[in-house]
Amino acid sequence: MPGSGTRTFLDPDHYAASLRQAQLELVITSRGNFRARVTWAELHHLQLLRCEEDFPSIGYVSLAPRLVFVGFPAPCGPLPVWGGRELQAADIMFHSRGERLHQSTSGPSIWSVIALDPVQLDKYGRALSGKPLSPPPEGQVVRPSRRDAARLKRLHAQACRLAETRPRILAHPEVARAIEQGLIHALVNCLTTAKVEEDGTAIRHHARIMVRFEEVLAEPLGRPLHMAELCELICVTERTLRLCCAEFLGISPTRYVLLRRLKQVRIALRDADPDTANVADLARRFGFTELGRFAEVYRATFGETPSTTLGRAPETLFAGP
Amino acid sequence: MASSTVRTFTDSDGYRAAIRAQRVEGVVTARGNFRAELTRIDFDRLLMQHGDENLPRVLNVATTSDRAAVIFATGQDQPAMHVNGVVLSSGEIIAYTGLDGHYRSAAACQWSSMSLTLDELAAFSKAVIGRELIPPSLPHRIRPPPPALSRLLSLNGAATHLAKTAPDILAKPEVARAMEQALVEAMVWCLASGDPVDVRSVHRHHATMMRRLEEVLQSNSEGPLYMAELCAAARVSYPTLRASCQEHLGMSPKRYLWLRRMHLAQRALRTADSERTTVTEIATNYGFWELGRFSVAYRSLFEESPSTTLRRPSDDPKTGEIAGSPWEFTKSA
Repeated sequence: MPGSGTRTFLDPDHYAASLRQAQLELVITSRGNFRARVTWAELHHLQLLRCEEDFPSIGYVSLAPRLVFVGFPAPCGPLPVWGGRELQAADIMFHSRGERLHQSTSGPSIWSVIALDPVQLDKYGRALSGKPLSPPPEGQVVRPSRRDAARLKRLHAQACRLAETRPRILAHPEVARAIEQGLIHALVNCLTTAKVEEDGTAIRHHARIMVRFEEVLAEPLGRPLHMAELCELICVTERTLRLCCAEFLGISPTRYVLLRRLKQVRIALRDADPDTANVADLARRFGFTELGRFAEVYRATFGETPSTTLGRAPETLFAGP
Repeated sequence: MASSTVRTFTDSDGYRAAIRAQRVEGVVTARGNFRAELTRIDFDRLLMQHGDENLPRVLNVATTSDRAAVIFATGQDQPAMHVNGVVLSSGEIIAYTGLDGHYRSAAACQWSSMSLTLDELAAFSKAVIGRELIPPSLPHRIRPPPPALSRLLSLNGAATHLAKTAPDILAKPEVARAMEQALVEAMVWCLASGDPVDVRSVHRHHATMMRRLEEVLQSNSEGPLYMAELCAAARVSYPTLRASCQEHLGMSPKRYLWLRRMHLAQRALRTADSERTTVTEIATNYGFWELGRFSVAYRSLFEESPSTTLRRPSDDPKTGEIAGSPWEFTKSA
C-alpha cells in the first residue's frame, strides 16, 4: 500500500533522525532558527524524499547499502557541494551502494532523493535501454540533457506536492503506479543517456580522507583531539586535511570539529532533565572546560544560552505538520 | 444469394466490434465526434467490408489465416494509410492472409476489404488466369496495372452503393452471383498482374515488435499499462519500440499508451453508475492524478467533459449505434 507524508522540524537532530533510509549527521554552520521540512512518498518500488532546509549546513550522509540512491538539488538557490563536487542545476548524483559523503550548502536548499531496489533498477534499465544498469562503484555526477533532467525533477516535484496536499490520492495504487512508472522511465533515461562527469584521482583520494576523518571523529575518546593527533589518526598531513575540508565542507577542520562537539552538547542539554542536570557537567563531558568561553561560543552558534536549551520543554521542538 | 448490412456508428467501440475479423481493437487518435459507416456484404464465397470513417485512428487487427484478403483505399485524395507499417498509397493494394498488426489512417478514410478462403482463391485463379495463386503470409504491397485496379474499385463501389440504396436487388440470387463473379475476377487480376513492392526486413523486425506489444496489451486488456512495464513485458528496448511505433502507429509508444488509458477511462465512465461513482475515482483508477489536466485532455479528445459521459444513461443513442438506421437490411441466404 503506497503511503506518503510531510513534516516540519524545528530541531536538526529530530529532522536528521526522520530520514529512514539514510543516516544523516547534520551540523548547522550559521546561527538562526532551524527549520526543515521533509516530504516522503513510498510508492510500490520507489521511495521518494524531498528535504527543504532553511539554513546552511554540512551533512554527513551514510546511505543504506541495500538500496540504490539517486539525488539531485533543486535548481533554485545556491547549489550544494556534494562529495567535494560543486553541482550544477541539471546534475544528478548517482550514488554508489552504501556511499558515505558530505553535503554542504551555503544557504537555504532543497534536495531530492529517489531510492529503489537495485534489482528493480536493473530490470527496468534492461527493459528500457536494453543494457544492464547498476550503481557505479563510486558516486558519480551524471549530466543528462536539460529536457531529461527537467522531466525527472518535474515528476518528483509533482509527487511530493501530492504527498503534501493530497496524500489520499497518492495512496491510490493506480496513481502511485502511474507516477512511479513515469519516474522510472525518466530516471533510466537520465542515467543511460547522460554524460558522466569523470572524477579526477585527487577528488577520489580526498573523498576517502573525508570518510576516514568522520570515522576518527566518531570514535569515543572522551576528550577533544588536537589537530596533530587527528591528522596522525587519519594518516594525512595537516595541509591536506585543511584542503579537503575547504573543498568538501567549506570550513576549516577545527571549526568543523568544534561545531560537531557543540551539536553533541546541545543534544545532551536538550535530552537532560533540567532538575537534576547542570550545564557545567554536560559541557565538561564533551571537553569544554572553560565554562564562560563555552557559553559564549554556544550562544554565538545557536542563538540561545545553554541553560535555555536545558530548560526548554520538549514539545516545542516540532512545528505543526 | 447475398446478405448485406449497412450500419452507422458514433461510438468507435461499437464500430470496431462490428468489423469482421478475429479481433479488432484500437483507438481514435484525434479529437472530434466519431462517426463511421460500415457496409458488409456476404456473397456465397466472397466476403466484403467497406468502412467510411471521419477521424484518424489506429486499429489493431487480427484475421484468421485461412482466408486470403486484399485491402485498399477507396476515398478520393485521401492520405496514405499504413497496414503493419507498410504504406498503402493510392494505386496500390495490400494482400495478406492472417493479418495481425496495425492498420492506421492519419485522417478520415474509406477502405474496402475482400476475402476468399485459400482454396477458393486457388480455384478461382486457376479458372481465371490458369494458375493457382498463393498469397504471401506477410502483408504484401502490390501495384496492379491501372485498368485492373480501376475495375476493382468501380465494381467495389457499385456493390457498396447497391447495399446502401437497394439491398433487395443485391439480395437477388442472379444479381449476387454475377456481382460476386465479377468482383472475384477483378481481385484475381489485381493479385496476379500487379508488381509486388518490396517489404524491407526492418519492416518485418518492427512488425514482430508490434505483435509482441499488442500481445502484452491484450493480456492486460482492462488495465492501464506504462512504458517501463511494457518494455519489460515485451522484451523490447524503448528506442526500438519507439521506432516501430512511429512506423506502425504514427506516434510514440508513450502517446499510444496514454491514448489507450484515456479510452479505457472513457469506457469506464460510460458504463459506470453515475449515482455511485465519481469522475475522480475513475480517473485515478486509470492513473490520472491531475484531475484538472485530465478533464482538459478528455474534453479535447472526446469533445465532452468526463462528467457528461458519466451522467449520460447507457441506453442513450450517443453511446452506440444510431438506432433504426434507415439502411439496415439483413437477409440471409
